[in-house]
Amino acid sequence: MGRVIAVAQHKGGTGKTTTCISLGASLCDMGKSVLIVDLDPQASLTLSMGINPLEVERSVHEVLVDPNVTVKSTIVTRPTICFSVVPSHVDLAMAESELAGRIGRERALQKKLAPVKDDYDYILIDCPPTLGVLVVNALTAADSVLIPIQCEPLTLYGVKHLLQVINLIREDVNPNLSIEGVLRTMFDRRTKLSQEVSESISQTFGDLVFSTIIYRHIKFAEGPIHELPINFYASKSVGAEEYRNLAKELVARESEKAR
Amino acid sequence: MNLKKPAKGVADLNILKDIRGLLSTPPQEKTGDSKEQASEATEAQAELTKLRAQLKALEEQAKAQKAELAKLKAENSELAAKLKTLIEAKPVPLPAAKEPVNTVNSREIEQLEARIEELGESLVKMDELLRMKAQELLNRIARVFNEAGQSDVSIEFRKGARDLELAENMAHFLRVLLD
Repeated sequence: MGRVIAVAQHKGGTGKTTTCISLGASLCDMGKSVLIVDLDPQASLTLSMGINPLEVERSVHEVLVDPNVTVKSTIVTRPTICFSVVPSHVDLAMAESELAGRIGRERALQKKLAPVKDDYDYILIDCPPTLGVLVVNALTAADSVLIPIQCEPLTLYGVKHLLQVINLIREDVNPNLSIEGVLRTMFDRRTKLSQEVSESISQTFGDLVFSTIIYRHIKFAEGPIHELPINFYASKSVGAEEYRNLAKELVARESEKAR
Repeated sequence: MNLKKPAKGVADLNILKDIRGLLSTPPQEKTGDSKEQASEATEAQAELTKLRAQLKALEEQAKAQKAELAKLKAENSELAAKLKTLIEAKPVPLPAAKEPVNTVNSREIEQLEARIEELGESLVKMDELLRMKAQELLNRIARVFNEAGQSDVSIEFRKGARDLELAENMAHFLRVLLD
């Protein structure tokens, strides 16, 4: 049975999309089958993989609002990308109002993912930087949530709000939701501030923090130009290696928990 | 005056305390009662969805039957008008070789009368069926609202069902009178 991991963080620009793409590709390198759901109306992940959201026949938007559309019917695969993608569309921004008033609206994604869960080892959900119905759907469908934290103080406020939502989700709809881990991202070696924030994150989150740190690399920003994960266009770069280490750490943690 | 800024680091941020508090909040254990309530709520939701679907199907059925009724009424009027025209028409002298006009007219009149009678019967049946369906629909809607705790709305629908019955009875009485 596949493991659904929501990559979520209230603050934007903390590396959610980069983490989904790079971690997804690294897990593929380890022989795992991966599906990534782009749940962000900005469709950054979709665009980064060279998929034009305006040209896709069906997107995650239809999956959520149309009972007849399955996840399978939206999956896009490319020979240049090792994982499968459920693309996003700008119409997803209207999902909040479209799903309003519907009974069980928080379970829309969970129900649609259930038939494909066994087809993949990992399903990663790239969440938008909000705490609305889309993120609630992701957290309801997920087995765990991976929280990327940019090593800057403001990010911590976003984490607080996210944790509040996680606790509510656990109480009401998904008691099994766990925190997969906290990933320190965009660590700037040049600044003392990054080091301080990183240490505070370690002290606050304890064992939840991944030992792997993702440093700030310009190579990540080149992804949308190449329309490939960093593992493909800069396989030997430090950034690619960091995400490979993260993938190994994630898989190792799961094996330990399973024992 | 030399104002010294208080030394404050990232570790002193209050937000970290809030985060620690949230991390230490254990997931609430659901009691047996609340689990039952949750499952009851899910069942009720499923039942409500099913009733809504039935309601929609009945509405569509009623709409289709209304359309059929209107079509039959129109056909009935058309044939009645034709019959009236034929009855009022003066006989036209025809050559000996052809059948007399009166015979042709009588046969056509008989056929039309039979058709009118047939349509009249269908009309009555359609009327009754439509009335029963509409009443059933209104009572079901009333029951749904009653179950949902909106008894004042359900009363309105029940009134509607009764008014519909009264109107249909009046229509039937008028029809008999005119006949």
